[in-house]
Amino acid sequence: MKLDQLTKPWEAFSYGFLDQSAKREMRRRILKAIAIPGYQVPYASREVPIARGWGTGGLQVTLTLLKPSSVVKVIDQGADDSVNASSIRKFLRRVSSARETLDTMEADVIQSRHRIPEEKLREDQILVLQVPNPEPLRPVQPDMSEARIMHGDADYGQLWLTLYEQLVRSGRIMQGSSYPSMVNGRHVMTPSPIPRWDVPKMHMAANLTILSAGREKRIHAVPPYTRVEPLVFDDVPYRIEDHADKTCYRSGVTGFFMNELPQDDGSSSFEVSDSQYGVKHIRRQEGEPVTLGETYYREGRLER
Amino acid sequence: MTQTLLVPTAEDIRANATFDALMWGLARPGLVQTLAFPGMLALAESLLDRECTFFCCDEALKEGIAATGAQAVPIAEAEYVFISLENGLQFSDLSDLLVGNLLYPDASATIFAPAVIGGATGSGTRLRLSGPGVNGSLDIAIGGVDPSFWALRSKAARYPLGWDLYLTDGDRLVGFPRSTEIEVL
Amino acid sequence: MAYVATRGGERAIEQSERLYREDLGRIDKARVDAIAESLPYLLDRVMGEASLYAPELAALALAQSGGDLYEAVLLLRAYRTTQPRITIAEPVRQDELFTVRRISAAFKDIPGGQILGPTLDYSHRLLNVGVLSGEDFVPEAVELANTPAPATQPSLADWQKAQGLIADPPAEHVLLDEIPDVTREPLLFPASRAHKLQSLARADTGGTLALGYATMRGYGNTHPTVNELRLGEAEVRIRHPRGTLFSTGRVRVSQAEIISKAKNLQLGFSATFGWNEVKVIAAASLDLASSQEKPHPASNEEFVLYHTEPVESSGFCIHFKLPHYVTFQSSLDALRKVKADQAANKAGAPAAGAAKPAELEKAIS
Repeated sequence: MKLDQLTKPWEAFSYGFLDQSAKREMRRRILKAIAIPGYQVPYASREVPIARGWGTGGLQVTLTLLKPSSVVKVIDQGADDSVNASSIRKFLRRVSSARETLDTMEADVIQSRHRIPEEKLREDQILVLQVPNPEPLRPVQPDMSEARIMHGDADYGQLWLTLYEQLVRSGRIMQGSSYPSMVNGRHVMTPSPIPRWDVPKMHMAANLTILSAGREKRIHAVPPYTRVEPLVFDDVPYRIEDHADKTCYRSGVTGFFMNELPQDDGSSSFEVSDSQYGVKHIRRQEGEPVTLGETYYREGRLER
Repeated sequence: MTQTLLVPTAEDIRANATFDALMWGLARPGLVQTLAFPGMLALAESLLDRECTFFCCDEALKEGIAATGAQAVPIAEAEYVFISLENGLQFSDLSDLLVGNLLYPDASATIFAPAVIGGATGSGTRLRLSGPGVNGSLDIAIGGVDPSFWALRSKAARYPLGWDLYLTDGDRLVGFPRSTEIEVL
Repeated sequence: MAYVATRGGERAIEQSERLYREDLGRIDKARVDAIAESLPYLLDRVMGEASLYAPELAALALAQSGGDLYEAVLLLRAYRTTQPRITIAEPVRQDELFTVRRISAAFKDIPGGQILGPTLDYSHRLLNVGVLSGEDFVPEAVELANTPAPATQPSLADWQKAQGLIADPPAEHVLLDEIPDVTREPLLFPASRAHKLQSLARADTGGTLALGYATMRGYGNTHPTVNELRLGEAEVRIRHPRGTLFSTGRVRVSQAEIISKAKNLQLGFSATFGWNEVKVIAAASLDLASSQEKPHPASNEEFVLYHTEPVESSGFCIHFKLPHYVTFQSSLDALRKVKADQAANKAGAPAAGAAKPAELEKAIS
């Protein structure tokens, strides 16, 4: 063997930014994550050109998946054009030549921070969720090694206990987003800080979901048609946010997750959080030919 | 970085397309995926490098895989196992395969083996799959794999421990992650 | 709301980046060279934390980030990600280091002598304000010693081990190719020796100091003393595929051994790229403290290694600038509901779906 067989001609940057060895590692870890739904697979997590905590985990997965023929959508808190989403989308385009889209229905890969789109994802789509803290047990066990033992033993007693304590103290479970959920009846995972509204969308979903925490170096996944059950007590139902009767002041849409906009007079108005879904409605009202996808919720109620 | 768009090399294209099949293979157990670049070596090249261990009983393939930098080791230590499941003799060691441990169930083996992949009514052992990735249940016929293998698999897998399996047939590939329940019909 | 969403957001983002870069102005090779020449210790710090030894790139990163250290480290780390690992260099041994400074606080004199080398340790920290009014500061010439210090120095720990003062810890024999690499594998606990030392080598100088200082000050049972502090240049030797060893150049390195005076003598160790004495002393103290039985929480291995990672900690810190309104909305909803439930229960007319005391009672049983 010669030196030049060990290396290759100098290039400023690899396709998809990550070099081949980084991508191979990502691929190996993603496969394990799919094979053991909800289990947190440790990975090396390379540095990428955005800061840790800004979606580096999701970005590494997306960079591994993209091809020039891919169509990619990036959302942050529901919006395609928020600061971080647009910066990530620009970067993805530059290093992968993939086409950008804002339309959920057009995308092959959707990288998202803290929301699942309102339009139903299909079997051929991949949702990549950015995860700040992959460990649902962190509030009851900050030591990662101990938490891992608890997952190994499927020992979720302490987690149940804190949910129960919330019930006793406040009359309801106070978990806002990141609602801990049992995957495939074995591993409790965090669905990432999506609102409670979005968690039921994961249950037996048609799409593949990959959740990746770059700073904490863990990947977990929910394959299509997999059970995702929020931890609830038999006699205390799971409660989504009370947004069913709110109407978006821009698009007039009712029955979806809303952003609350405080008004000067002390009241609130609302806009639909899935920004592009709202935009599609507005464009349709203006007479443009727009296809609206089937949604998980209809008139504020979950479609089953 | 320049503002021009980066385009993939031939190696990038091969590895990305191959991984697509591998990923959907595990995400949708039993659904046949098409390999744009058939052959065990292409599968190995998309996943393996010097950070991996493998076992392979085919000498020519073994040499090809070793060129990725992966280290050839005895079957009981191998993360990636390239083997034939055609008859019982060759898979008598399968009970020693890495299945991971409760802390790290991912410290386990992945098997790659040739097979004859039939549809729901093809010849071979007829299997009924259910579990994550399967919408309800799915029937598939697998030839070229010793029928007793399936019993061995269900014995080895104590979920989440276990190993994951890929079968290939020319440009066709199917995956069987450990999470899949397999009923022999 | 102004910084998120609404069409036109992308333009605002672009302009905000321009504003930052406009303040820094044109970056040319001369600026990069000037940084490299005038700020070697800053380059060393950035290269150590980035775990990429490339003075020219480090100077460029500093120029591009206007001296924001966390940004500079991230720039280099992200660049490092794109570089293939071609081979693994031969181990660098203490007694082969081209040593320019090597001192011990544990002994008045040591085999090989105390070599002070370049240091400001004994200087008066006074600003040369004359420079500002045009009176250049010209350093006085160094007077050569009668006999030059030898280029290499023996390891003090070897001498101590030979004296039976410290136990030689059982050496893990690891093949060169099998040394764990924390940049390519996840850091898991208990961490391997290699991962621990590598993590400390690329740890944040400030963070390492804060936690190291805590152990020195009394949060921990070790009573650290500098056994040996060494600055030098290490030859990076790699093996040609034909088998011959050759040097690809030298890198500046620092290393520290900290010895515990408590109970029996034990060593803590740290080494990093560049000359950065504060970091290696603090890191070696942490290595020592975290290796004790039941370390104080501030020097617990997991606590130390996770919280001194410069890219992760700084990135997470600034990520709180990102909008969090969905998460916030979700919590707000739960809080409001509780208030409504409480009010309704008080009024004796609980709303449909509100948690009733009986419901809670039932959940308890």
